[in-house]
Amino acid sequence: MLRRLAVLAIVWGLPASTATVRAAESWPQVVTDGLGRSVRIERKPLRVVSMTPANTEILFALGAGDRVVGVTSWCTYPEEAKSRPKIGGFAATTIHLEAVVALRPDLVIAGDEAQSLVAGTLAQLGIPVLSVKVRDFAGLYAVIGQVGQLVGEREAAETLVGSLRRRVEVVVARSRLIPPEKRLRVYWEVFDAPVMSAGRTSMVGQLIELAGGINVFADVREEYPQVNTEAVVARNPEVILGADMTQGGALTVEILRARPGWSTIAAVREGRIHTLPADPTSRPGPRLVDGLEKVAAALYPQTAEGAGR
Amino acid sequence: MNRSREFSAAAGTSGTEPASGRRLGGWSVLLGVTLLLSMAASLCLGAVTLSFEELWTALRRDPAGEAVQQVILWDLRLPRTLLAAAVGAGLAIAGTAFQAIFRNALADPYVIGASSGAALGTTLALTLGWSTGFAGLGPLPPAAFLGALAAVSVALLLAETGGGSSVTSLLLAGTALGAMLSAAVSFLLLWRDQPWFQVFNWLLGSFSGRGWSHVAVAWPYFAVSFVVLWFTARPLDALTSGEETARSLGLRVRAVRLLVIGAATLAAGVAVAMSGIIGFVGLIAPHIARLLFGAGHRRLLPASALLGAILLVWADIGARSVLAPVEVPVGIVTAGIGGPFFLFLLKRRGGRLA
Repeated sequence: MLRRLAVLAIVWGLPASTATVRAAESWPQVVTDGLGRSVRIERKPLRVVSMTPANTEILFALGAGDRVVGVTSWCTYPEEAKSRPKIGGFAATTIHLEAVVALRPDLVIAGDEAQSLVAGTLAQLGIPVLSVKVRDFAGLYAVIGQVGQLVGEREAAETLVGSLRRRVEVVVARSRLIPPEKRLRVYWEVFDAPVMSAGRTSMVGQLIELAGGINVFADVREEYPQVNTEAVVARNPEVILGADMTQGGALTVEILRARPGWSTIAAVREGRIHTLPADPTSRPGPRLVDGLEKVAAALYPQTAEGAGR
Repeated sequence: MNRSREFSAAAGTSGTEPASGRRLGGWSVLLGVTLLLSMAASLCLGAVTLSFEELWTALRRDPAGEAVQQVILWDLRLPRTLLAAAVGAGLAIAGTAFQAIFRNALADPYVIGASSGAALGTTLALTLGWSTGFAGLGPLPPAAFLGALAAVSVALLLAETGGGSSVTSLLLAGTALGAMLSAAVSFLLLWRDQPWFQVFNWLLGSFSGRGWSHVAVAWPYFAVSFVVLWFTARPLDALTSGEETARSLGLRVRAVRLLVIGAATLAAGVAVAMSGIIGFVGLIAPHIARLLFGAGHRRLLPASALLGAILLVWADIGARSVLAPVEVPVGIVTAGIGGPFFLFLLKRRGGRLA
């Protein structure tokens, strides 16, 4: 319940706070971030540090890449981001606070609660920190708008959100045409040992539903639950999806067939197993829409091609 | 002498004189039936619930029944249930033997660090990529055995040289040892880029995804361990009443101890290699068995094994049912039941710990 309220707060609250500031290039800018903290920026930031790969992608997509002075070692996209100084890993425990401070940032864009301690410490040092929390596409649009506002790229943000929104609408419009009896049951494997999948609220779960599939673990509230293999067999998915870069074993028909009981699953019998690029399906950045389109194409190739993609 | 009296007191009786065989017969039949019923329940319950009729249909592979139920039963639930029973029995006989050897009613594979040692051995084998098995049985059980053996040796040395109250020094040494070894396991797994949830799964124990191949590997080891312990049951009785007593009875104390430690450590190690660290089963099962049958090891060992199997079968039912279709690590369930039990035992003996 609390989580749902939080989602609503993000979806509705953030655009509202965006609207409170009118002029695109007037300073200071004040916003309330994803953790409910007030962030105030005195002048256009020239030295921005990104603490998550998704934030890095947003900054570069907004044309603020040349002002990004620090990224994580996981920030691999776009190519140019790799050359920026590293502030550590993505996990909060691996971020070097001193490295961040040494870069003399005038804006830090952090992740969600997982990084809230680090974000809080930086804020206490007088460095403006925007914590972003994206739980769905509406949240993604809001965050892009907010980042655009704070780095002085508001128009770019509006253009980007507009095009992302249209592409998502195209996918959703197509999947709406799929009759209920033709909707495919989808199992998404997040990890192999233990077997982990994606619940209803996870980003991946939303990608499946938006693309017109039925997530076989949509009844699970947890985002990335360890699931019982009996349940996978019993729910008999028609398609199995997974990311191509998991740290677990590869997702192939041979490997899945060798698992006890899995050879009877429809997707395994018919060989409907697809691996999709990991980053667009896991990073809550602009490329999440690429991920959605790829999921849709994997589930309903005819529909996707027939519409002339 | 003081130590042995302490242990015998906890054990209930002096343990050398068997009670009537008939009493054993009745109870063991009851335990056996309970185990069979528990396993039947385990086959019915889970992410998909089967009625007894459906279970029977699926067990006979009746073509009239649902194919999915047959697959779930034969490929997933039956091997998992058999493995849970085997691991439970293995942990219980290991606990029984450790309690006798250490003459300490609170010793079990988890408490004295054997499980953590086995986990470290297995993790080392996994991360270093050892693939040469022993007698074609895969590299993990031997690696787990060696790791557990190392941990038990250290615990034994510490308990013997530590002086003071044996209970406290063994528990403290075991706890510290277990924490160190678990930290080493976490470090190795994280160092090799294994994600945290896999580490978590290892350290809390799970039967998720285990199949017939695990059952086939595990049973022979447990059988060997049980047979060895069974044949050392009488000497174990003597050892329980103190080393001096045992020596006066003409026992080759050193040889017996080595044999028993080897067999118990084998069972504990293989249990970890199969399912990760599962605590407290090796503590609870021998205690209940001792309450029911007294301390004679001829009866204690099989009774512990049956009770351990029953306990872990039920713990696994809980692990895959409470949050179904989500799995809970089975070690959480056993710790939830076993932790309070352990504290209760500790409190009952509390006066002598200070």
